[in-house]
Amino acid sequence: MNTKQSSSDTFGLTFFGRMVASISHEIKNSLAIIDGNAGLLGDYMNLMEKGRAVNPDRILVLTGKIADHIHRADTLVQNLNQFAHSADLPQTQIDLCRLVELMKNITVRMAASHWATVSTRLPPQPVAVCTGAFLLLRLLIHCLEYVLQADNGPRNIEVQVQKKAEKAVIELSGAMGLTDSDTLFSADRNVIGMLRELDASLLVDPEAGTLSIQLPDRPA
Amino acid sequence: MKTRVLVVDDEKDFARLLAERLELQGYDTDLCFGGKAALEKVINGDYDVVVLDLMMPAPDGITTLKQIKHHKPIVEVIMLSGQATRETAIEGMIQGAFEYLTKPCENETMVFKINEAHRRKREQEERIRKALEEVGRIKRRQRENANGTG
Repeated sequence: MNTKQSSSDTFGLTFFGRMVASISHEIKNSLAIIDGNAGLLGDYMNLMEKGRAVNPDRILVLTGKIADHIHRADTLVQNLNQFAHSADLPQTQIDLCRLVELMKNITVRMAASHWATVSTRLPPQPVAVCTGAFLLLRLLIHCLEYVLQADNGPRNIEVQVQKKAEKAVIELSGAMGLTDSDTLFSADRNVIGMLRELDASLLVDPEAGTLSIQLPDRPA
Repeated sequence: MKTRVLVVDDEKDFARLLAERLELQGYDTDLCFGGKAALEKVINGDYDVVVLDLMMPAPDGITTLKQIKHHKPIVEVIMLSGQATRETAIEGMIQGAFEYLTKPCENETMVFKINEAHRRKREQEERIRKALEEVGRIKRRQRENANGTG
């Protein structure tokens, strides 16, 4: 068995499990809210049966909340599905913009736990690259976690996708608290392994507060 | 007297609906959306039971539980989480939580546990009151003996 392949598979499973646990936790939250609001509607019906007046506007708000959270749970399941399918093929042509949007959607809770938000700045046209979608997601989220842990104040991390010459660039900005020694992050064995498999490069700029990943623009 | 319940959850819709359901069932409820706010309310307020979400941005549920128990050890805390991990449940109980429930939780179960938690708080308060009375009696006897009037 190829040692490098088995060690990266192991890492991939741990990452996969963590992300699925995080997304499923959010789905459970939505289900709890749907369940709770349905229960609250039942409570109000019981009150009405006992002759107490109930504001119909309140009933409308509650049914609206149920609908909102059904929609939210459905979106979370879609995100989970897209994340799972990112591992279908080791390498395929993808739209980087859609991948970065998925990354933003599945890291909302992770960012919130560090009092941060994640936003995207994407070009109007798709940015097509031939790469490993799951591996690239792993690298992006690894970078995001690193940036989130560097500082705990409220902030927004912006993820930008750009096409520069023959390369596609994903840049995380708004990274506060990085020090000069953080350029060592690019020497992290896990990061080096992922970069090698993706044929990508990583640039950390502590002064500018940015992390940039450059991917080759290979034909499909 | 109504049981005073503080609901703490960073998921605002959940916190609001739980507080509303408890209010309809006769509890005196309050709510907040984070551990820091919860601690301030517990220190400055007079709550019987806190329903505390485990998974919150820092300070998380376990940290908030420790701080509540440090400042107001008699206030009972019911931990609540969508993730039923045995380790976190055990950690919560070690830190003094009354109970650990998972979301979604049956309303009847929540109400039962809140009532049980409040009953334990009342029993503890009664024990403390009796102990303080006994201490008072002992001190009075000691003073009387010292004055030669006992």
